[in-house]
Amino acid sequence: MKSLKDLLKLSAKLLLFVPIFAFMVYCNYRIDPSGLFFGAGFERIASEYMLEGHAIKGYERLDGRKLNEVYAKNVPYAPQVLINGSSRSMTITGDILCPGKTFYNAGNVGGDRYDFFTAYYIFAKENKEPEIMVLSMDAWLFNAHEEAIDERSDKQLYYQFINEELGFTEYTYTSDDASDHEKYKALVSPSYFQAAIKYYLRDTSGEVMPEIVNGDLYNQYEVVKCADGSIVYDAAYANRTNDEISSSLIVETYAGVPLMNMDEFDSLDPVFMEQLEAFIEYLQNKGIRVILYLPPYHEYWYSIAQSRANEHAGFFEVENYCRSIAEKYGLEIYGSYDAKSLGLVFEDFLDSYHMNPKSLHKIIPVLE
Amino acid sequence: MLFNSLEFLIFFPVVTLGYFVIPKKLKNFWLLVTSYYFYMCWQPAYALLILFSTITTFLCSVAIDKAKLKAAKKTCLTVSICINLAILFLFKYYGFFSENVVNLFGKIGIEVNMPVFDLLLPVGISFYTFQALGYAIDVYRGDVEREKSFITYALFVSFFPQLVAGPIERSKNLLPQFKQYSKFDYARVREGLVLMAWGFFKKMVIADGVASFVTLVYNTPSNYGGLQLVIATILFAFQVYCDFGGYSDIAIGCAKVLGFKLMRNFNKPYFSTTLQGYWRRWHVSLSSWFSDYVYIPLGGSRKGTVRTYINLLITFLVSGLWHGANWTFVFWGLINGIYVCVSRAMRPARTRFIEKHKLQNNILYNSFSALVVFLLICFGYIFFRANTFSDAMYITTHLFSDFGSWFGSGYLTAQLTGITFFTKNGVALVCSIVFMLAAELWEGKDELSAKICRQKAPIRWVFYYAIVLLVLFYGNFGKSPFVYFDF
Repeated sequence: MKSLKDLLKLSAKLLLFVPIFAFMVYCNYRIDPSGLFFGAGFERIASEYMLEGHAIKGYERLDGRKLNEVYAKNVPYAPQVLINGSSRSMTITGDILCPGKTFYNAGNVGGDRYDFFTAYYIFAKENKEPEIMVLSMDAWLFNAHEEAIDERSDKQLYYQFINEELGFTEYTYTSDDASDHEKYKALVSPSYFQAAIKYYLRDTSGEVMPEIVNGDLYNQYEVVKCADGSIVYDAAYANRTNDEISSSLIVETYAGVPLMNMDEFDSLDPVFMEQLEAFIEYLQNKGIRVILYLPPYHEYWYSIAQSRANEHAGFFEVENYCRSIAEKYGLEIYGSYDAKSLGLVFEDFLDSYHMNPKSLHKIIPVLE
Repeated sequence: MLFNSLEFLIFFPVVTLGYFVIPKKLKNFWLLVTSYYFYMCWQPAYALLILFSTITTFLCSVAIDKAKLKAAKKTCLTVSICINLAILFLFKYYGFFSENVVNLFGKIGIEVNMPVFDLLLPVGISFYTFQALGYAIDVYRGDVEREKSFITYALFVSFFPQLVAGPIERSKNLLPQFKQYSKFDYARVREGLVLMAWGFFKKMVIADGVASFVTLVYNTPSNYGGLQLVIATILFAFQVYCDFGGYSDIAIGCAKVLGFKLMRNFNKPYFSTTLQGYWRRWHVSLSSWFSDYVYIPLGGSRKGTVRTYINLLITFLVSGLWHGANWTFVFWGLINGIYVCVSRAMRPARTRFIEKHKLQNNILYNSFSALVVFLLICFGYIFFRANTFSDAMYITTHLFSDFGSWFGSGYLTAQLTGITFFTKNGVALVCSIVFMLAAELWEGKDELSAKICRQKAPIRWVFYYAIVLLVLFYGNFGKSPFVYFDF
């Protein structure tokens, strides 16, 4: 009997250590130095600002892919409309595409075929699948050449997606995701606590932190990332004169250099085609409305591309192929690589690849 | 399984609860099974070695007990000693022995081929073989009765708190305790837990903390200046003490929680004012083992002055070899043997000096003596820690190579920066060492855990929280093994 009393007494006394334990768990969770719960450092801060509705500066110094991942992790709802793609579609905003709906532009600068899938997957992994998925069809997605791949894209995440979700099991992957078990372990780990304290007390004086944009969004000295994931180019770039744009068009289409990401683009890559169709079927099976978007090229660029068609024959097959699968799967399709066919003019572009956001409404209807 | 591991954090409460819950008859069996599990978490196959050593010493002790003639008893004891030493030799010393034989014969032009066994050193082999040997000798001498129960004896050899790094318990002390079952007693358990916490603090905060500086310098001593070598050597003194002392505290604390009293293994050794005193306070269980089973059987101090010194030197050389199969350990043993001989020779003069100047209780004199003893011990540690004998020689000859600059402006800071002292919580570590030494001074003749438990609740809880927070903030939670596991 005395032993039992003693045991209970000891247990009660040990409970007095619970505050220390709780403090440790709280720090591990809130400070989260490795971003297991909220995502990594700067990107977490940036995503917090975005979730509060702010546009941020300093975006180009961050890892945009990481930022999207952290955003997907922390956004409290599933955006109704999601768009992937490259910088060519990153100026598309929710106000242009789907006012009144929740929207996120998950495009990436230099977005490649890996980003094409992972931009969706980072949300799907968090059970935040959209109702509408806009697939921005950059032509280089179909080019198997290594120059069409961006070194920053998350290859392992892509392999994980096509293996686990699309059923291409021949692709293996190593996941760096923290499992739930690892997260629970980190929550009660004294080592993680020490890392958290060190992180919390670190010298931040030399760090470049994301900043909230004050003043006119369209009059900033650097690229701005908006709360909905879209970007606004800096004023100096967005307001270039026609002469300045003309000069850049010449540089971008300089005859001795292959057009961007068009190296040895002789034909469409069957691997990507197969994966794309599987992706569309997969999305449709989940009841997600799929829209294809073909971001236009400047008419000057397009005419140069036509004049050198033998160097990248594959490019001219892409649009037809996209239209054929749109028909096959009953998808809506907007835009065209050929600006002329859309009635776009010189001033509708910032350069060869990027449309002036003010002109986007000309080719993108408001989604119902 | 390491004490400083998550596994142990689960293992220990389970074993403790099980021990107090199960019927008396099964308690020893429970501890035996869990002790073997504890050991087998490292290398399951090597548990067979413990079992083999246990069976042979158990059978030999039965034979010693049953034998009528002294010669027969002696033969049985010899068999037991030979078997245990053979195990120890094969697994620990054979590589060292064969390498030296090959080198020795090579120097006189004879090529000798010794068979090579690629054997992993079994953790704790020097501890459990010595414990088993001590038991066989005690039975032979009639100091203890032969243990009738194999389970109890097997538990004596493999009791998990002290299995892999001591204290090397005497059969007279531990065996009877396995027959007296303690109930769960709050005061005792609390004292045991406090001692364990203190041990974790010493190991995880101090020993593991200073280890990074020591390893950095001792792995490439030629890259560092004299002052850095001195700092690393002094820090190693605290590393080895807090590592082994910490282990002993955890082991003794564990045993106390379960209701067993193990011998105190360290008694504030760095406060010793004489070298002989130091060896009475440092690794007490091993020192007394060597005293009882090596030094005294050699004749101790009973056969004249010269023989006493020879016996002391032999004992310390064997002690050095016990620590590791390397000439650096042998040399370390020799240095300490010489220290003790010189200290013994100077004792009359020292006593006269103290009495003449009435220095018995003089704090300044005692502090100075303690400092001298500490520095001499640190010098010996150079050989204990150095990776090779040539490294040790390099360090000893370069300790004061930059002495002229030691007191120059900013020199100390620059040297500390060079060993990453400031980036790796060096200041917090030094504060922790000072805290530990202050606590040892405060404990007086008592044991720290007992003294803490006698304090009023607010003081106790400040201490508990301080220890837990220090471990939480500065402890090393990686799986760093204890230094003495290699011995």
